[in-house]
Amino acid sequence: MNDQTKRRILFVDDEPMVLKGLQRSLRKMRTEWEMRFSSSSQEALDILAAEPFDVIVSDLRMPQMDGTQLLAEVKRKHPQVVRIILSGQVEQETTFKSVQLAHQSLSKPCDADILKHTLNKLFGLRNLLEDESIKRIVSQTETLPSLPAIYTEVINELQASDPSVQKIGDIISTDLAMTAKILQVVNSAFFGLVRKISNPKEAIMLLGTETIKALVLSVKIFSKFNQKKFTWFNFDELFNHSMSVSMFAQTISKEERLDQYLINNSLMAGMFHDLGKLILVTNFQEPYQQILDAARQNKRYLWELENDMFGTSHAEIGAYLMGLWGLDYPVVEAIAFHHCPEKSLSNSTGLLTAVHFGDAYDRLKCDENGADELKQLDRGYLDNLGVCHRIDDWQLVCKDLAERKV
Amino acid sequence: MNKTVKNLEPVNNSQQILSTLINTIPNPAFFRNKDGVFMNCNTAFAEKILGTSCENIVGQSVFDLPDIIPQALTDICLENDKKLLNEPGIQTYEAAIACADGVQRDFLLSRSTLADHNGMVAGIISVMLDLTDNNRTEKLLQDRTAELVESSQELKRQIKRRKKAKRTVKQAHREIEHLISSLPTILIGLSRENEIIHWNAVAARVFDMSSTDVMGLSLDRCGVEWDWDKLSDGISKSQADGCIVRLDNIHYRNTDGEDRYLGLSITPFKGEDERISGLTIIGADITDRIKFEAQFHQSQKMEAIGQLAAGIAHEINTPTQFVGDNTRFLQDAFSDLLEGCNLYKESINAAKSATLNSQHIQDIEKRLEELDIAYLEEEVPLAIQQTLKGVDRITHIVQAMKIFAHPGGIEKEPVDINKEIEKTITITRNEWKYVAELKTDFDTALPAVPCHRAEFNQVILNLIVNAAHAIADAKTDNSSEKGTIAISSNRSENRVEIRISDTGAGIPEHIRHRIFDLFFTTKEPGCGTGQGLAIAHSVIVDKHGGTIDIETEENQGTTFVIRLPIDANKSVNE
Repeated sequence: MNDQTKRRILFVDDEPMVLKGLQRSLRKMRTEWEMRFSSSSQEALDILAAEPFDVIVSDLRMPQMDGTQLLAEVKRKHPQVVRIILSGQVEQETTFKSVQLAHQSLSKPCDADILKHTLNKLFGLRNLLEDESIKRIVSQTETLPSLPAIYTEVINELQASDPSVQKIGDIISTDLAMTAKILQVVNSAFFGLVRKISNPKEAIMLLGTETIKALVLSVKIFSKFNQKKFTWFNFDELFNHSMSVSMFAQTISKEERLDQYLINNSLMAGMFHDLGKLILVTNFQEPYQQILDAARQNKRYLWELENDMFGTSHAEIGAYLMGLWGLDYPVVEAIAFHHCPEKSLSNSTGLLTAVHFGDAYDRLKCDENGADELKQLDRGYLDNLGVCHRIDDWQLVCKDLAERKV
Repeated sequence: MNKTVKNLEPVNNSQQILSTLINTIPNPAFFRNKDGVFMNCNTAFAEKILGTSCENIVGQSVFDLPDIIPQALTDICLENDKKLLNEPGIQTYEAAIACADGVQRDFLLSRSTLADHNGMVAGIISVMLDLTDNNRTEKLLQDRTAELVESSQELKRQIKRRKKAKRTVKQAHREIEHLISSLPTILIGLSRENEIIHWNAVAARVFDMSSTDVMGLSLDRCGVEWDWDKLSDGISKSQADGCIVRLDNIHYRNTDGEDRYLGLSITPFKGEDERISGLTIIGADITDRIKFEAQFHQSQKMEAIGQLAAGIAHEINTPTQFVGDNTRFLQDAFSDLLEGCNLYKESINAAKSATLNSQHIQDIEKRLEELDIAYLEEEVPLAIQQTLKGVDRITHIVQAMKIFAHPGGIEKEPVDINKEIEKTITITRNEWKYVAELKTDFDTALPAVPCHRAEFNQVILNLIVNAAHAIADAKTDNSSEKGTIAISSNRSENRVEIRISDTGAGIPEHIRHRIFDLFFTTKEPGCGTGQGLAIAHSVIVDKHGGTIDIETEENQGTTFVIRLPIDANKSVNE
C-alpha cells in the first residue's frame, strides 16, 4: 500500500509517554495507517496546515492551548478532519465544552483494540461519501434542527421548578434530531457507561435532569429550525414517517427474531433513516427546494435526484453523520442503504432489511392507490436473503401496528 | 470580821477618792436628791458659780438659797429636773448662768439620774461645762470649724462615694455570683492543697456528683474517671509558673460509661501574700464540639476530595493509558521475538541436518526483516522502562491518597512535615501542573513536629489549590507563561515555619481581613464554599497553637506563612 491509500491520523497529547505508548501499541497498523504524534496543540495545528489528515485524536487537558480550543480550531480550519477526544479527564465541565466539538470521545485508559476499532469504523464511513465538500458540511454539523413545538416543550420542562426526567424523555424521544444528539452524548466516553445506550429515554434517565439541563440550556446541543425560512419543507411529514418506520423496523426485527442487540437498535435505525434530509434541507436550501419540486412533478425518487445533484443522497449523508456520532455499524448500514440494500455487503437479514421494508411499507400506506404495491421494495435483495416469503407476514404485522397506533 | 473590815475599807477609800475626784474636776458639779436638796457639790460649783462654800450649800434645796441662786436658774433647773425624773437617764441642756464674779456664761449641763440600792431614783448628778471658756478660743475655734466643715463635707463626699462604691461592689458581686451560677461551664475551685473548695452546678451535672459529695476532697480522689496524668501535669504547671494552662481533649468517662472529652482552663489565683493560694478550673464537655468539628472538617475534606477527585483520576488515567499501551506492545514484541527465535532455531536445525540452502536463508532473512528485530531491540527496553515509570507514578499517587484515608486521631503525633507536604503536592499535581511550576525548598534537618496529620495535610492542600487558582485567575488568556508555586520549610528556634507562595494577583487590601472568615469566598458559585482558609486557620491556630499569616502584594502574589510549635504543649506565641 502506498501512502496515498493510507489513513492518516494525528495524535495529540501533552504527555510524551502517552504518545510513545500509542505509537508502540498501534505499530501493527503501520501498514494501513500513517500516524503522526504531537505533544502540543500549536504543533498539531502546524502539522495539520502542512499535511492532510483523516482523523485527529486529541487529549483535552493540555497547557497553553487545551484540547477544546484545539478541536475548535480544527473544526474551523479543517472541518473534514474527524475529531476524536482521548482524555483521562472526568470533569463534567470540560466534558460539556467538548461535546459539541468532538465527533466521538474515548476515555483513558483506552485499550488499543477499542481505539483501533473506533478508528476503523470511522475509516469505513469515509467510503460512504466521495464528495469532500459534503463531508466537510457533515463533519461541521453540531446539531440538527428539531421541531419548534417539541423544542419549546423540552425547554419549558427543563426550566420548570421540578423537571421530570420521565417527561423530558418522552418529549425528546419524539424528535429525531434530539434523540440522535442525546445518544451521541450519552455514548461518549465521558459519561463512563460501559454499554452502548440505544434508547433515548434510558439515555435521559442516565444523564439526569441536571446534566440534560446543562447540555440543553448552556451547551445548546439542541436547536430548532426556523419555520418561516422552511415553509417549503414539510418537517412534520418527515418526523411522522421516521417514527412510523422506526416502529415498523422494530416490529419486523422482533418478528424475525433478530439478535437482541439488533432489536434494541432497530428503533434508532428506523428513526434516523431519513435524517440526512435535515442536513440537506438546512445546508442546501435552494438546490434542495428544486429537487423536491422535481420529485413531485416527475414522480421520481428523491434519492435519485439527490444523487444526480450531489453525487450522493440523504441516506449516505445521514449514515455518515450517525457514524461520526458513534452509532454502531448495523444502524449506519441500515441508514446508508435503506433505498439500495443490495449495495450493502451484508448478506443476512438485519436492521437494513427491517428499515428497508418499513420505509417501503410506510410509503405504500401513504400512496393509498395500492396499484403498485410496495414498489420501493427491492425484491431481488430480499430474495437473496431468502425472506421473500415473509413479506406477507411483515405487511400484516405492520398493518396491525399502524391500526393499533391509530 | 476581817472580811467586813476589808470590805469597809475600800468603801471608805472610794468615798475619799470620789470626793477628791469631784473637787479636782475643774468643771462645776453637784448632786441633788430627788427632792432637789443639794447632797454634795464641788468647790468649782460652790465658789465659781454661787460664790460661797460647799458647807453653805449641802443640805439646802434651791428654794432655800434665793440669795445665792438666781430665780432664772432655779426655774430651768426645776423644769429639767422634772423631765429627767420622769425619764431617768442622761440629759444635757445649755443654759446661760450668771456666775459669782457677776459674768454671765453659757454652760452645757450634763446630768444623770442616780439610782439607790433599790434601783429607785435617788437624785441627779449634774456636771457643768463652761462653754464660754471654749468661746474664748473662738478665733481658733472658728478656724477649726471652717476646717472641720470643709473636712466634714469632704468626709460626706467620701462617704457618699464610698456608699456608691459599696453599692457598685455589691452589685458587681451579685452580678458575678449570678454570672457564675448561670455560666454553662464547669467551675471547680481548688485550695492550695488541691482540695475542692468550689464545685458548681455544671460540674455536678457533667460528672454526676453533687458538690456536697466532693467538697473538701482532693481533686484526684473526687471519683471522676478522667485522664488524671494530663490534668495533674496541667495543675502542676499552672501552680509552678503561675500562668493559665489550657488543656484540650481531656478524656473522661461519664457515669453512663460513655467516653467523652473536656476542654479545661486552669487559672491560679494569688493570696495577699502574693503566693498562689488556689486554682480555678473552668471548662466544658467539648465532646459535641469535637464531633461537630470533626464533621465540619470531614465535610470540607469531602469538598476537597471532590475537587481533587477529577484531577486524581486524570493523574491515574494518564499513566494507566501508557502502561496499557506499552504492555500490549510488549505482548506483540514478545511474540515477534519468539518467532525470530524460532526462525533462528529452524536455521540451526537446517544447518545441522545440512539442508540449509541459500533460498532458505533468504526466506528467513526476509521474515526477520519484516519482524523488525532491530526496532524491538531499541523499543522494548524503553517500553519496559516507561511501563515501570507509569506504575511508579500510579503507586505514588495512590500512596499519597492515603492522606484522605487517614481518619486523624484526637492526639497529635510526630510528623515529618516535608514528607506530608510532598504527598499533598502529589495529590494536587493535576490542579497546578497546567498553570504553574512548583518549587520546593525543604529544610531537611527539620525535627518531627507534633501534628494532627490529616488536618495538617488538609491545610496544605487547601493552600496549594488556592495558590494554583490564584495563578490561573491572574493569568491573562493569551499568556502561555506558567506561574510559580514555591513551598519552603525551615526551623526558627522552637518553631517550624512553612511558606507557600504563589505568583497570582495577590489579595486585595479590602478583603484581607476577611479571608479567614468562614464562608467568605471570591470564587464563582460552585467553585468554592469559602471553608478552606477558615479551616486552615482553625487547624493551625486552635488545634496546633500555631499561627497563619499572609504576606500579599497586589499583582505580585501571596505567601501564606504557617508557624507551628515544635513543643506540643506550647503555642508559637509563648
